[in-house]
This record gives sequence, structure tokens and C-alpha cells, in this order.
Amino acid sequence: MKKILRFALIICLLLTILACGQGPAVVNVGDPAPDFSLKDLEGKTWVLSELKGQVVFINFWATWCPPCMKELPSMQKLYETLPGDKFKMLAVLNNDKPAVANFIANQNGFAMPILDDSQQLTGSKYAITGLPETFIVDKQGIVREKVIGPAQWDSPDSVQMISNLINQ
Amino acid sequence: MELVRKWIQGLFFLVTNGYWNFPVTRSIYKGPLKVVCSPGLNCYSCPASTTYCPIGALQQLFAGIRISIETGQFFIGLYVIGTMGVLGGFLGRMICGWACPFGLFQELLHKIPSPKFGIWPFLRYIKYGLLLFMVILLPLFAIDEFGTGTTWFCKYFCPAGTLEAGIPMLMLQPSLQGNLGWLFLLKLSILIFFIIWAVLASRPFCRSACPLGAFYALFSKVKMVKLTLDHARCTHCDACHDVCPMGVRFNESPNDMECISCLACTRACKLNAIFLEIGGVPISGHAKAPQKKPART
Repeated sequence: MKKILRFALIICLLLTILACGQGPAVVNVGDPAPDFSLKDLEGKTWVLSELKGQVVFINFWATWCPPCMKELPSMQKLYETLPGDKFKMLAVLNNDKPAVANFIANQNGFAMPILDDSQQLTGSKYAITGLPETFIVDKQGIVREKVIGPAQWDSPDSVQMISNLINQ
Repeated sequence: MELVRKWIQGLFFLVTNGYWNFPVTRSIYKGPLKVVCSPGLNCYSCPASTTYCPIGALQQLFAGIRISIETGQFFIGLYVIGTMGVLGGFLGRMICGWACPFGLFQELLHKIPSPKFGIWPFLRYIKYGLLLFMVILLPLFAIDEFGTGTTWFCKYFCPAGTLEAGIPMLMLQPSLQGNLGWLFLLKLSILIFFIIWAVLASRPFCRSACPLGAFYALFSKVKMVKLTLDHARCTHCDACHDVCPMGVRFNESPNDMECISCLACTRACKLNAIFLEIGGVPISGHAKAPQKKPART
């Protein structure tokens, strides 16, 4: 009897904890990018579905994540290189303080919109593994590239890949 | 009592790693429980982990402290220091013996039949060096161009992180394999080294390299819940020596910083000279033997 009770206790505990968890599907290349509506640090609202017809670069990051910080300068160069009317770069701040991100962006001249996802709701929708994680969405709203970990975004290959999506 | 301890260890393993939906989501748990600090060493990035690791959070605090101060943002790190202080002050290294999943993992490894060896006592001091340098000083002072440090212990050493996060995430997200390099090989080698060592010796990581154990050990003299030696009953038979998984000679060093209060010595002591006390009050109805009065001359 005691063994059954112990087993039941553990099952209950597991179920309770499972119920607290999120269960989003993984977003893979070829899937439609989940829609979101987030405000940037200047208060402007960005809705992904309203950006159809443009290539959208969605990067999940945080200031406490050293690999994220490492790739930010190359993201800034990419942002400056590509045409703003056909390409949008959204740096989604995940699980971090907007004031800290604002401080770092101002200090280092990062001009791309920084969207506040401190509650991690959008990060959960995209089922991100960790940080940084980047999704490149084509003009039809389909995920065409998914990069886990940092990348050199101003490299000729990266610029070419995104330019091809813009010109499609 | 050993069975109770094993159940509590198992329960803490499940509570701190209770998200078993990860094979479906293929990512780590980020639900509401993730704001809770785990008492033991349990990696934040383990897919099943419902809590975060105090040592990882402590490094994050020191790594980002400049920007935190400049922007008036005080991260969760202050809460972590408070939690660790309260846990340390109340239980000390009892957490290692009762609530640490990586401690349980080493205990299970040590059950594998093999020749068993002791651990050179001098190695215990390495963990204080790791706490000081890799958890505090390097994250605090080795900063990059943005003014932030990095989590040195997690990044370059922690075998618990490799076991609980590195390897499972590689299996769940095969695309991560493209990022593998010398750093992963280094950490994998460290993990394999400690796994082999744990088969041959008892709790080698806890005894030589765990910075969380080193932190809790600082409370060994002041903690509320502790094992105590009744000197009047002790005959120095040394029965407590061989049973200790941490290599403590309890009758010679009752406040030893290595003691994890697993109670193995209380069972070995047939004279009830070792007992658990909370805030100076003996529990389990133990009464101290009357002190011997000096003979009158």
C-alpha cells in the first residue's frame, strides 16, 4: 500500500509540474512563422503579419548572453547594408530588462528595433532552444532559415542568402 | 533512514527536473517555475530542469554587475545570494547529501562494482579555488568590450552542465552539432573523467571541484541543522571513518567542512555518540550522556 501511495505521489507531482510547462510545437524551416505583436523600446508596435512582402530577420537575444552580444555588431552591419523598405531586422529581447538593452544599444550604436519580450511569450511561440536564435522569414511569412547560436551576419554568404530572399 | 534519504534525493531530482515534455518540444522548460533557484547543482539549460542553478546565476550576477549598477537594474542574482545564504545557514552541505541531483548521480555511479579508492584530502581545497576564481573573480573582472564578463565555470568546466544540458540538447537539436568544437570536447573529457572517478571513489566532484559545495561548506560551523558528537559517549572506535562518503573522520573533526549530514555515521555508531541537532536541540529523542566529573583528590 505504501509503495502504491508513493508511486501515486510522484505521478501527481510530475503531472503538476508538467501542467506548469509550455508545450509549443518546434518551428522549423518551411513552417509559417508564428505571428506576434511586440512593442519596441521606443513604444512602436511591431506585428509580424503586417510585414508580409518584406524579408524579416528575427533574432532572440539577451544582454546577459555573451554569444548574443558577440553577434550584435555583425547584425548592425547587416542592418545598415540591406534596404530598409524590403528588409526588417527585429532584435527580440528575451528574458531581460529593457533598460539594460537600451543602455547597451545606445552605448554601442545598435540601431535596429529592439522588441521587448521580457515575458518570453514570443520566445515560447518559437520554442527557442536557448539564446541567441535567429529566424529568417521570407516575403510570404515562411521561415527560410533557422540558426541556433551566434553567426557572422555581415559575411558575404549571409548577405547573399538574405539578398536572394529579398530578390525572389 | 538511508532509504528516506534516497527517496528525498529522488524527489528533489524530480522536482528540479520535472519537465518531461521536452522530447516533444525539443527545447528547455521556460515555464513559471523557472524563477525558482535550485538548492543543488542543476543546470538551467537541462531540458527537463524546472529551476535554475545557483552557481550559474551567481556568475551571471558578477558578469553583468557593471551594467546592472549603471542602469539601476538589480538582477535575480541578489535573490540567489539570499537564497543560498538562507539555505547554507540553515542546512549547509546537508543539501549536497539530500537535494543535489549531481550528488545522487555520483552515488549511483559508485555502486558499480569496481576496486574502490580514497581521495587525497588535499584535493578538497581545489573547489574553494574554483569558487573564488571561476565563479567570482573571472566573471567579475575578465570583461569584454561591452563591459560584461562570462560564466567561466559553466562555460569551461561544469560536468553537470555537460551531462544535463550539453549532451541532451545535442540529441534534441541535431543542428547544434555544427557548433561543436574544442570547448565541447574539453567539457566532455571533464565529464568522462569525473564519471570514471565516481565509479572508483565516492563523490569525487563534491569533494574536489564543486563550488556550490564549497559555498555551503563555509556555513559548517554556524548552520542550524548539523551532526554533533557526544564526546562523553565516543570511545574513538573509529567506526564512523570508513562509512563516510566524504572521507570525514567525524570523531576527530565534528565540524568538518566536508560533512554532508547523510547520517551514515549515525548508523555506524553503535554508542549513539553522533546525532542530528537543529538549532542546538537534539532530535530523535537523543539525550546527551552525563559528563564525567573529575575525580576528587
